[in-house]
Amino acid sequence: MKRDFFNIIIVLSLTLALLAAGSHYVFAAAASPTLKVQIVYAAKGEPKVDPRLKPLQKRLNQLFDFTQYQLENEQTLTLNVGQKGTLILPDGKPLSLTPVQKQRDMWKITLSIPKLVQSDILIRDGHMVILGGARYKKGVMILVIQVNPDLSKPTTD
Amino acid sequence: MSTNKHDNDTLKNVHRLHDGELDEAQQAEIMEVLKNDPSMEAEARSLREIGEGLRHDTEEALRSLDTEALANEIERRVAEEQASSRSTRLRFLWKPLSFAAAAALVVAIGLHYHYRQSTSSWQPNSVIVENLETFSSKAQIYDTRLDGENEPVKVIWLFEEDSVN
Repeated sequence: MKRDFFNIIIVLSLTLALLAAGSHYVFAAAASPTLKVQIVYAAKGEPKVDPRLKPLQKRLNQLFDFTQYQLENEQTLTLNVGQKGTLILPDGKPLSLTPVQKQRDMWKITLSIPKLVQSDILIRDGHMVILGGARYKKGVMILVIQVNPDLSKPTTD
Repeated sequence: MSTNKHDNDTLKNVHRLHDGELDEAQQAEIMEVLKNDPSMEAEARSLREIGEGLRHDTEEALRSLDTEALANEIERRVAEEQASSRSTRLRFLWKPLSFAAAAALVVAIGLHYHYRQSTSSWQPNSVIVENLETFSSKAQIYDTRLDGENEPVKVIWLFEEDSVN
Protein backbone atom coordinates (compact mmCIF):
# COMPACT_ATOMS: atom_id res chain seq x y z
CA MET A 1 0.00 0.00 0.00
CA LYS A 2 2.79 2.37 0.97
CA ARG A 3 4.69 1.43 -2.15
CA ASP A 4 1.60 2.10 -4.29
CA PHE A 5 1.27 5.56 -2.80
CA PHE A 6 4.93 6.27 -3.42
CA ASN A 7 4.62 5.08 -6.97
CA ILE A 8 1.66 7.39 -7.58
CA ILE A 9 3.62 10.35 -6.20
CA ILE A 10 6.52 9.62 -8.55
CA VAL A 11 4.27 9.32 -11.58
CA LEU A 12 2.44 12.54 -10.69
CA SER A 13 5.74 14.39 -10.25
CA LEU A 14 6.92 13.14 -13.60
CA THR A 15 3.70 14.19 -15.29
CA LEU A 16 3.75 17.65 -13.73
CA ALA A 17 7.40 18.16 -14.63
CA LEU A 18 6.78 17.17 -18.22
CA LEU A 19 3.75 19.45 -18.40
CA ALA A 20 5.79 22.34 -17.01
CA ALA A 21 8.56 21.69 -19.51
CA GLY A 22 6.06 21.36 -22.33
CA SER A 23 4.32 24.60 -21.47
CA HIS A 24 7.55 26.52 -22.01
CA TYR A 25 7.93 24.99 -25.43
CA VAL A 26 4.31 25.84 -26.19
CA PHE A 27 4.84 29.48 -25.23
CA ALA A 28 8.20 29.67 -26.97
CA ALA A 29 6.83 28.20 -30.15
CA ALA A 30 3.47 29.98 -30.03
CA ALA A 31 2.24 30.34 -33.58
CA SER A 32 -0.33 32.99 -32.78
CA PRO A 33 1.06 36.19 -31.27
CA THR A 34 -1.17 38.40 -29.21
CA LEU A 35 -0.93 42.07 -30.11
CA LYS A 36 -2.11 44.67 -27.64
CA VAL A 37 -2.84 48.03 -29.21
CA GLN A 38 -3.53 51.15 -27.15
CA ILE A 39 -4.65 54.27 -28.96
CA VAL A 40 -3.78 57.37 -26.98
CA TYR A 41 -4.77 60.94 -27.63
CA ALA A 42 -2.04 63.33 -26.47
CA ALA A 43 -2.26 67.09 -26.26
CA LYS A 44 -0.95 70.07 -24.38
CA GLY A 45 -2.97 72.00 -21.83
CA GLU A 46 -4.08 71.54 -18.28
CA PRO A 47 -2.38 68.34 -17.03
CA LYS A 48 -4.75 65.42 -17.24
CA VAL A 49 -3.84 61.74 -17.54
CA ASP A 50 -6.30 58.91 -18.05
CA PRO A 51 -5.91 56.61 -15.00
CA ARG A 52 -5.88 53.61 -17.34
CA LEU A 53 -2.60 54.91 -18.70
CA LYS A 54 -0.89 54.94 -15.30
CA PRO A 55 1.41 52.01 -16.23
CA LEU A 56 2.62 54.04 -19.23
CA GLN A 57 2.63 57.51 -17.69
CA LYS A 58 6.27 57.60 -16.64
CA ARG A 59 7.43 56.56 -20.06
CA LEU A 60 5.09 58.95 -21.88
CA ASN A 61 6.27 61.83 -19.70
CA GLN A 62 9.87 60.95 -20.44
CA LEU A 63 9.30 60.74 -24.19
CA PHE A 64 6.95 63.61 -24.91
CA ASP A 65 6.11 67.13 -23.82
CA PHE A 66 2.39 66.55 -23.78
CA THR A 67 0.48 67.12 -20.57
CA GLN A 68 -2.79 65.43 -21.43
CA TYR A 69 -3.13 61.76 -22.27
CA GLN A 70 -6.44 60.07 -22.92
CA LEU A 71 -6.86 56.38 -23.77
CA GLU A 72 -9.18 56.43 -26.78
CA ASN A 73 -9.28 52.72 -27.40
CA GLU A 74 -7.54 49.53 -26.39
CA GLN A 75 -7.77 46.25 -28.27
CA THR A 76 -6.06 42.90 -28.10
CA LEU A 77 -5.71 40.83 -31.26
CA THR A 78 -4.56 37.24 -31.44
CA LEU A 79 -3.52 36.60 -35.02
CA ASN A 80 -2.14 33.62 -36.89
CA VAL A 81 0.85 34.02 -39.16
CA GLY A 82 -0.32 35.78 -42.32
CA GLN A 83 -3.62 36.82 -40.78
CA LYS A 84 -4.30 40.55 -41.01
CA GLY A 85 -5.92 42.29 -38.06
CA THR A 86 -7.45 45.69 -38.64
CA LEU A 87 -8.46 48.40 -36.18
CA ILE A 88 -10.23 51.59 -37.11
CA LEU A 89 -8.41 54.55 -35.61
CA PRO A 90 -10.32 57.49 -34.14
CA ASP A 91 -9.64 59.53 -37.27
CA GLY A 92 -11.27 56.81 -39.38
CA LYS A 93 -8.11 55.37 -40.88
CA PRO A 94 -7.56 51.61 -40.65
CA LEU A 95 -4.52 50.28 -38.84
CA SER A 96 -3.50 46.86 -40.16
CA LEU A 97 -1.19 44.49 -38.33
CA THR A 98 -0.04 41.19 -39.84
CA PRO A 99 2.34 38.72 -38.19
CA VAL A 100 4.65 37.59 -40.98
CA GLN A 101 6.89 35.09 -39.24
CA LYS A 102 8.84 34.40 -36.09
CA GLN A 103 12.60 34.87 -36.44
CA ARG A 104 14.27 33.25 -33.48
CA ASP A 105 12.58 34.98 -30.55
CA MET A 106 11.28 37.97 -32.48
CA TRP A 107 8.01 38.39 -34.28
CA LYS A 108 8.05 40.17 -37.61
CA ILE A 109 4.90 42.26 -37.87
CA THR A 110 3.84 44.27 -40.89
CA LEU A 111 2.19 47.53 -39.85
CA SER A 112 0.23 49.68 -42.23
CA ILE A 113 -1.90 52.82 -42.08
CA PRO A 114 -2.88 53.86 -45.60
CA LYS A 115 -1.49 57.20 -46.73
CA LEU A 116 0.47 57.53 -43.52
CA VAL A 117 2.97 54.75 -42.82
CA GLN A 118 3.99 51.22 -43.67
CA SER A 119 6.78 49.19 -42.08
CA ASP A 120 8.02 45.80 -40.94
CA ILE A 121 8.73 45.65 -37.24
CA LEU A 122 10.67 42.90 -35.50
CA ILE A 123 9.75 42.77 -31.86
CA ARG A 124 10.47 40.44 -28.95
CA ASP A 125 7.75 39.02 -26.77
CA GLY A 126 6.69 41.49 -24.11
CA HIS A 127 8.26 44.51 -25.80
CA MET A 128 6.57 47.52 -27.31
CA VAL A 129 6.80 49.96 -30.18
CA ILE A 130 5.28 53.41 -30.09
CA LEU A 131 4.05 55.03 -33.26
CA GLY A 132 3.03 58.65 -32.98
CA GLY A 133 2.75 61.99 -34.59
CA ALA A 134 -0.39 61.76 -36.66
CA ARG A 135 -2.57 64.79 -36.08
CA TYR A 136 -5.78 64.21 -34.17
CA LYS A 137 -8.13 66.79 -32.69
CA LYS A 138 -5.95 69.44 -31.11
CA GLY A 139 -3.05 67.12 -30.49
CA VAL A 140 -1.65 63.87 -31.82
CA MET A 141 -2.48 60.22 -31.84
CA ILE A 142 -0.03 57.80 -30.24
CA LEU A 143 -0.25 54.07 -30.86
CA VAL A 144 1.34 51.75 -28.30
CA ILE A 145 1.76 48.24 -29.70
CA GLN A 146 2.93 45.33 -27.56
CA VAL A 147 3.57 41.75 -28.64
CA ASN A 148 2.56 38.99 -26.23
CA PRO A 149 2.41 41.40 -23.29
CA ASP A 150 1.68 38.59 -20.85
CA LEU A 151 5.04 36.99 -21.51
CA SER A 152 6.95 39.73 -19.76
CA LYS A 153 6.65 41.68 -16.54
CA PRO A 154 4.83 45.02 -16.66
CA THR A 155 6.75 47.60 -18.64
CA THR A 156 6.38 50.55 -16.33
CA ASP A 157 4.94 51.52 -12.98
CA MET B 1 -5.58 -80.42 -17.28
CA SER B 2 -9.28 -80.54 -18.11
CA THR B 3 -9.91 -77.67 -15.70
CA ASN B 4 -7.25 -75.60 -17.41
CA LYS B 5 -8.78 -76.33 -20.78
CA HIS B 6 -12.21 -75.32 -19.44
CA ASP B 7 -10.77 -72.06 -18.13
CA ASN B 8 -9.08 -71.35 -21.43
CA ASP B 9 -12.29 -71.98 -23.35
CA THR B 10 -14.24 -69.76 -21.00
CA LEU B 11 -11.67 -66.98 -21.34
CA LYS B 12 -11.75 -67.21 -25.12
CA ASN B 13 -15.54 -67.05 -25.09
CA VAL B 14 -15.46 -64.05 -22.80
CA HIS B 15 -13.15 -62.26 -25.23
CA ARG B 16 -15.41 -63.18 -28.14
CA LEU B 17 -18.40 -61.95 -26.15
CA HIS B 18 -16.60 -58.69 -25.46
CA ASP B 19 -15.64 -58.26 -29.11
CA GLY B 20 -19.26 -58.84 -30.24
CA GLU B 21 -18.41 -61.96 -32.20
CA LEU B 22 -21.18 -64.09 -30.69
CA ASP B 23 -24.82 -64.24 -31.62
CA GLU B 24 -27.59 -64.01 -29.04
CA ALA B 25 -27.80 -67.77 -28.44
CA GLN B 26 -24.07 -68.04 -27.94
CA GLN B 27 -24.14 -64.99 -25.64
CA ALA B 28 -26.89 -66.59 -23.52
CA GLU B 29 -24.92 -69.80 -23.34
CA ILE B 30 -21.77 -68.02 -22.23
CA MET B 31 -23.69 -66.01 -19.63
CA GLU B 32 -25.19 -69.22 -18.29
CA VAL B 33 -21.76 -70.82 -18.02
CA LEU B 34 -20.37 -67.77 -16.26
CA LYS B 35 -23.33 -67.61 -13.87
CA ASN B 36 -22.77 -71.20 -12.82
CA ASP B 37 -19.02 -70.81 -12.54
CA PRO B 38 -18.17 -70.61 -8.78
CA SER B 39 -14.88 -68.86 -9.45
CA MET B 40 -16.71 -66.08 -11.28
CA GLU B 41 -19.15 -65.69 -8.43
CA ALA B 42 -16.26 -65.33 -5.97
CA GLU B 43 -14.60 -62.84 -8.29
CA ALA B 44 -17.81 -60.80 -8.54
CA ARG B 45 -18.25 -60.82 -4.77
CA SER B 46 -14.68 -59.67 -4.32
CA LEU B 47 -15.18 -56.85 -6.79
CA ARG B 48 -18.39 -55.81 -5.09
CA GLU B 49 -16.58 -55.66 -1.76
CA ILE B 50 -13.80 -53.55 -3.23
CA GLY B 51 -16.37 -51.20 -4.78
CA GLU B 52 -18.21 -50.92 -1.46
CA GLY B 53 -14.95 -50.15 0.29
CA LEU B 54 -14.02 -47.45 -2.22
CA ARG B 55 -17.44 -45.86 -1.98
CA HIS B 56 -17.21 -45.85 1.80
CA ASP B 57 -13.72 -44.30 1.72
CA THR B 58 -14.80 -41.63 -0.76
CA GLU B 59 -17.82 -40.72 1.34
CA GLU B 60 -15.63 -40.50 4.43
CA ALA B 61 -13.09 -38.29 2.61
CA LEU B 62 -15.81 -35.99 1.31
CA ARG B 63 -17.35 -35.76 4.77
CA SER B 64 -14.04 -34.86 6.34
CA LEU B 65 -13.17 -32.27 3.63
CA ASP B 66 -13.37 -28.66 4.94
CA THR B 67 -14.18 -26.79 1.72
CA GLU B 68 -14.20 -23.36 3.37
CA ALA B 69 -10.71 -23.83 4.77
CA LEU B 70 -9.51 -25.05 1.40
CA ALA B 71 -11.01 -22.02 -0.36
CA ASN B 72 -9.41 -19.70 2.20
CA GLU B 73 -6.06 -21.34 1.70
CA ILE B 74 -6.29 -21.01 -2.10
CA GLU B 75 -7.28 -17.35 -1.75
CA ARG B 76 -4.38 -16.67 0.61
CA ARG B 77 -1.86 -18.24 -1.73
CA VAL B 78 -3.20 -16.32 -4.74
CA ALA B 79 -2.97 -13.05 -2.79
CA GLU B 80 0.58 -13.84 -1.74
CA GLU B 81 1.52 -14.54 -5.32
CA GLN B 82 -0.02 -11.29 -6.56
CA ALA B 83 1.68 -9.23 -3.84
CA SER B 84 4.99 -10.79 -4.65
CA SER B 85 4.53 -10.05 -8.35
CA ARG B 86 3.56 -6.39 -7.69
CA SER B 87 6.45 -5.90 -5.34
CA THR B 88 8.87 -7.19 -7.96
CA ARG B 89 7.36 -4.88 -10.57
CA LEU B 90 7.63 -1.83 -8.29
CA ARG B 91 11.23 -2.63 -7.47
CA PHE B 92 11.90 -2.85 -11.19
CA LEU B 93 10.18 0.48 -12.01
CA TRP B 94 11.35 2.49 -9.04
CA LYS B 95 14.79 3.46 -10.30
CA PRO B 96 13.92 4.42 -13.90
CA LEU B 97 10.91 6.39 -12.69
CA SER B 98 13.05 8.27 -10.17
CA PHE B 99 15.66 9.12 -12.78
CA ALA B 100 13.02 10.17 -15.30
CA ALA B 101 11.27 12.40 -12.75
CA ALA B 102 14.54 13.99 -11.66
CA ALA B 103 15.62 14.58 -15.27
CA ALA B 104 12.26 16.10 -16.18
CA LEU B 105 12.40 18.40 -13.16
CA VAL B 106 15.90 19.56 -14.06
CA VAL B 107 14.82 20.22 -17.66
CA ALA B 108 11.73 22.10 -16.50
CA ILE B 109 13.70 24.26 -14.06
CA GLY B 110 16.36 24.94 -16.68
CA LEU B 111 13.83 25.92 -19.29
CA HIS B 112 12.01 28.09 -16.80
CA TYR B 113 15.13 30.09 -15.93
CA HIS B 114 16.31 30.19 -19.52
CA TYR B 115 12.94 31.48 -20.59
CA ARG B 116 12.79 34.13 -17.85
CA GLN B 117 16.29 35.22 -18.69
CA SER B 118 15.54 35.59 -22.38
CA THR B 119 12.41 37.66 -21.81
CA SER B 120 13.41 39.85 -18.93
CA SER B 121 17.04 40.70 -19.55
CA TRP B 122 17.90 43.91 -21.26
CA GLN B 123 18.40 43.51 -24.97
CA PRO B 124 19.25 46.58 -27.02
CA ASN B 125 17.63 45.30 -30.18
CA SER B 126 14.33 44.20 -28.78
CA VAL B 127 12.54 46.16 -31.49
CA ILE B 128 13.86 46.61 -35.03
CA VAL B 129 12.13 48.74 -37.64
CA GLU B 130 12.61 47.77 -41.26
CA ASN B 131 11.34 49.03 -44.61
CA LEU B 132 9.80 52.16 -43.16
CA GLU B 133 7.74 54.06 -45.69
CA THR B 134 5.92 57.16 -44.61
CA PHE B 135 3.84 59.80 -46.30
CA SER B 136 4.69 62.38 -43.65
CA SER B 137 7.28 65.02 -44.31
CA LYS B 138 9.73 63.49 -41.88
CA ALA B 139 10.01 60.41 -39.69
CA GLN B 140 12.33 59.68 -36.85
CA ILE B 141 13.08 56.38 -35.12
CA TYR B 142 14.68 56.29 -31.72
CA ASP B 143 15.10 54.05 -28.69
CA THR B 144 14.39 55.03 -25.17
CA ARG B 145 14.98 53.32 -21.88
CA LEU B 146 14.01 54.56 -18.47
CA ASP B 147 16.60 54.47 -15.72
CA GLY B 148 16.48 51.16 -13.91
CA GLU B 149 14.23 49.60 -16.51
CA ASN B 150 15.08 46.55 -18.53
CA GLU B 151 12.92 46.93 -21.59
CA PRO B 152 13.83 49.58 -24.14
CA VAL B 153 11.07 51.02 -26.30
CA LYS B 154 11.31 51.89 -29.95
CA VAL B 155 9.53 55.07 -31.02
CA ILE B 156 8.56 55.92 -34.57
CA TRP B 157 7.57 59.54 -34.73
CA LEU B 158 5.95 60.97 -37.81
CA PHE B 159 6.23 64.69 -38.21
CA GLU B 160 3.31 66.19 -39.99
CA GLU B 161 3.21 69.81 -41.05
CA ASP B 162 1.30 71.06 -38.09
CA SER B 163 1.90 68.23 -35.65
CA VAL B 164 2.66 69.14 -32.09
CA ASN B 165 5.66 68.14 -29.94
